[in-house]
Order: sequence, then structure tokens, then C-alpha cells
Amino acid sequence: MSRDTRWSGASAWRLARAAVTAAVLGCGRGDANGPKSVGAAGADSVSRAPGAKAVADADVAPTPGFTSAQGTRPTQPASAVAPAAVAARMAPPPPSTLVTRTSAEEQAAIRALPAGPGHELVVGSCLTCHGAMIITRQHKDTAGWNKSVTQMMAWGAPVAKDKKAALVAYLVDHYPASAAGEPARPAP
Amino acid sequence: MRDGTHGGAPRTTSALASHPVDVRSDGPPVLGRRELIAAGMMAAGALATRRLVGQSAGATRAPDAVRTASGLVIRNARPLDAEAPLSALATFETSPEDFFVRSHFGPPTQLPLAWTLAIDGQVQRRVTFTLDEIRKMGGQTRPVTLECAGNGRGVFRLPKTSGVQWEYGAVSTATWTGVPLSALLERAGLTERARHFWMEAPDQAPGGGVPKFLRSIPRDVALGEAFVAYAMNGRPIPLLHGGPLRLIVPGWFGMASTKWLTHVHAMPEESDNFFMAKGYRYADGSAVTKMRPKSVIAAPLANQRVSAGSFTVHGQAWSGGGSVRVVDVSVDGGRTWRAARLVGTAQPGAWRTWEADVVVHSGPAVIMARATDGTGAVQPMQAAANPGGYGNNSIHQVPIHVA
Repeated sequence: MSRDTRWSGASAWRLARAAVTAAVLGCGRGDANGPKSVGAAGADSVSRAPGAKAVADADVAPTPGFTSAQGTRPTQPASAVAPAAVAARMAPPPPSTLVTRTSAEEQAAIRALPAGPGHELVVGSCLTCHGAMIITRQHKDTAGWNKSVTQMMAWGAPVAKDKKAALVAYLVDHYPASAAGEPARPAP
Repeated sequence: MRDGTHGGAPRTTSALASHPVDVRSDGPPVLGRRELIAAGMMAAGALATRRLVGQSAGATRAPDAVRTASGLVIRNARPLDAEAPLSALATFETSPEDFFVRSHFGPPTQLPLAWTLAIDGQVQRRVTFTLDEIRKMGGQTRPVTLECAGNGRGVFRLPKTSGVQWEYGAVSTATWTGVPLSALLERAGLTERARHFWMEAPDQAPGGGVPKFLRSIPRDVALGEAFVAYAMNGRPIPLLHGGPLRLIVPGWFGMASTKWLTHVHAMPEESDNFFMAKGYRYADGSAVTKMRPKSVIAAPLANQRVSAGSFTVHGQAWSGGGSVRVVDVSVDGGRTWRAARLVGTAQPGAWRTWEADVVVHSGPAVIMARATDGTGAVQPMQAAANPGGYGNNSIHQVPIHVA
């Protein structure tokens, strides 16, 4: 399976999951379409479940960091929305909505994954099933990360056997164990 | 039976369906439109106007507490794991918007059209309850504190721990309404071989190879305080918090209070699920079960500036080993302690609000609070670290600046 093909599969999965999350949470429309009365957003989400499309749109919007962090996505349609409108809707969400904040923080966490060897493995394998923050807030040595990756592979994580060492190396390199005696603090 | 037998409701609707409001059984609607709307809004935490829910006896509200809608601190976005800001723990009852959120796989993506709870296994007769039938049984309303077993994992002094890096706020208290599990089990008629009760829900990981999250509780707990809740703070339980039906096991860490409950299997043995047999174990291999005595300081907040003189420290204290008996407070880094006032009355399974008037002098200071429960167990200055990062009930230390 080529990397691009695998990516589009993972990407579609992520979009579907995001859409499900948005629909379940009963929000998402306000995310893409700007301020909206809370009552209307809540009622909308229940009656028409608009979250799926709204979040999908926001997710594929061509924000520079987002694109570079996740690689190219040739299979995604180009956004038909004017750049100004895209910029407006990518502005920081109002602090009062959990869903928009969750989406923004997840995108920020993905953008913050350091570039370098193994980056594409994290994005293409780990993020297929879960968010980035569960990775970036943990700090482990080689044995610790190896154990985690081994467990995930046993559970079906899409990691080629010959890529496992590179994935573990990336994690150890960027999220090493804290100094003994210090609390395991998240990366800034 | 162990995996994937949540087939009690063959007709399901995807959360992506265009008309999820049409969630109806053949009979009267199980989830009414109004309730779904409420649940959705609660789940989104997007209420513009904060509704002041009924406060339980003993409730207090700190006058200076910072309260923001959806102030949850996100620790992982997918699935959503988020903890309450400390300022939100100033009140006895936590609102759904501030109540910590934790699950291994997120809410189920396929919801039954008509939510039912089935009881089978070592029983005289398999019984199935609809949500409406359970609601009509009434039951009990009581505050219960839930704490994630990993609360404090992120502040353990360890070179490494696996899991969500919680700090202090993966604990909250809601007023739950539900039916004792024993009353439901009685309808099924337990056999002598029914020793452990395996809880099942439709949540699952995206990848097919991941074991389901299945917990079991022993018979004495199932026939004791465990209950099946359908309301949280007087309203339908939001999906993020395990609605429409979740188990509540007072005194135990939160993983025992199974969300989205659809099946109870009466079994001769303890569940051998990964999250029972391998997960949720201390360093010595013993199972993580009851909450440990612990106290959290809701005010002042870390690094807050206060004026020299007297002010009131307050927070919450809880334990799975019986009600909290004493809370001691120190303002000199643990050299001297004095007892705090316990607010309201003791309610089994719920935390106790406490407050203490203290005097501080200019300079840096560290406020601490220490809980002692009904069994005499005292909260330690530093809890024993363990690889899983469970049960960190180290004394909460809050540095402040006194001007």
C-alpha cells in the first residue's frame, strides 16, 4: 500500500470520527459558520445533525500548518470557500464551546508534532485511532515507548513491522522520559 | 458472551444519521426530543446561560470562584478526556459542563433506537428493561463523587507513566438518580453461581483488534450500593457522561461506573477482560478498586496573590473508605496543621466540602490539605508511585504569594 493510499484511508477515517464526535456532541455548526446562538446550535444539531459536514469542511481547510503537519492529501477536494472566509472560520473559537475548543486543541497538537524521521508514521499510524495529545503529553524511555507501540500493534495499529523501530525512535527522541524525581510534565 | 454480545437492539441509528431526533421505539418515545436536545446541549457544554442546578444539602459556592461555561481542561481530544478546572470544584455539586470526562473509546457511535438494559447469565430468567421502565421504577437520588483512577497521574514524581496525564481535576460530584442494581437483579432471580457481574456497553475502539472495555463488580457490591442511573443533577444524563443509562458504584474509582450500560451478565467468575486482568492494577498486582482518602484545594489557586492576614481556604475531600472524618490544613508547608470546618452533613459516597480560616504573612507560602477517612486512613504526603500511575492521593500543595 503506498503511503498516499494509506493516508487517504486514514484521513477519511479521521474525518468520519470527527464528524461522529461532532454529531454526538450536538455541536459543530457554530465552529464553521461563525457565532450563533447557543440554543439554536443545540437544537440544530439534534434535528439535522449538521456537524458532519461542518467539521469536515473545517478539517480540510488549507491552513498552512495543518497541511504541512499531515502531509499532502491529493484525494481531498479543494475548498470552494474564499480565503478570507476560511481565515475567519479558522480563528480561535469562542472559549465557551467544548467541541470547537477540542477541535482546535487537537489540530494544534498535530501541528506541534516535530518534523523529522518517523513523523509520517505517527500521523499515519497512531492518529488513525486516537488524538495526538495522548502521545505528546506522555514521556517515556525506549522500553516504555516500545511497550506502548507493541501493545498498539497487537491491537491492530497499522504499523509495518520494519517501521516499528523508527516509530519508537521518533517517540523517544521527542517525548523522552522525565528526569527521575521530577513529575512527568507535558511538552510546552 | 464476553465480547460483542450487545446485540439486544438490532435496530440502530448512527450518530451521523440525518434525523437522530427520530430515536423512537414502537411504543412511546424513550428519548424525547426535548431530552435529546438537552442532552446534546449539555454534552456540548455550550449553554450560554448557566442554569443553576438544584444544590444538594451542604452545597456551598465560593464567592470568588471563577466559573466559566465549559471550562474543562482537555487532556486528550480523541477520545475526549478532560478534567475540571480546580475553580469548578469549589461547589459541592459539579455541573455537567464542568464534570470531568473520561472513557477509553469515546461515546458509542451506534446508538440503539430504543435503549434497553438486559440481565442474563446465571439467572433464573433473562429480563430486559426499557429506559422508560427503569425511570418509572423511580429509585433513589443521591450525590456520588466519581474520581478517575488515574487522577494525579501527571503529577506523580515518576520518570514515566502511561496514560492520560491528569493533574488534579479528574474528580467531580453529581447528584444521580437511579434504580438499585439489586432491584433489577431481583427481577431476574440470581442463582448461587452468580458471583460477579460483567457490565457491557456498546462503546468500542475504532480498530477491531482492541478489546472492549468491560468491567465486572463482585456480588456484594452489585447487591449493595451499586445503582443504574438515568439522571444527573435532575436531568437526563448527557451522552458524554454515560447517558442515557450508566452504572454508579459509590466509593469506587470511576472505571467501575460503566457508561452507556446495555447488559449485565451474571457470571461465576470475575471478568478476564484486559481492563480487568491487566489494566487498573497497582505495582503489586492488586486490583484498583476503591478511592483513596484525598483532598483538593479549590481556593486559593496555585500562584495566586493574596494579601497578608486572614483568608479562607476551601475545597473538597473524599474517600472510598467511608466518609471523610477530618480535614487538616497547613499554611507552612506541612509543619503545623489545624482542622478545617466540615460543611453540611456527611453523605456516604460523596465528597465533603471543607473550609478553614488561615492567617498568612508576607512571602511565599504553600497551602496543604490532608484528609482522614472513617477507617482512620490518612492521606500521605507522597503516595507510592506505580507504573500505571493509579491512586495518586498525595497531599495537594498549592504555592501562593502573600503580599
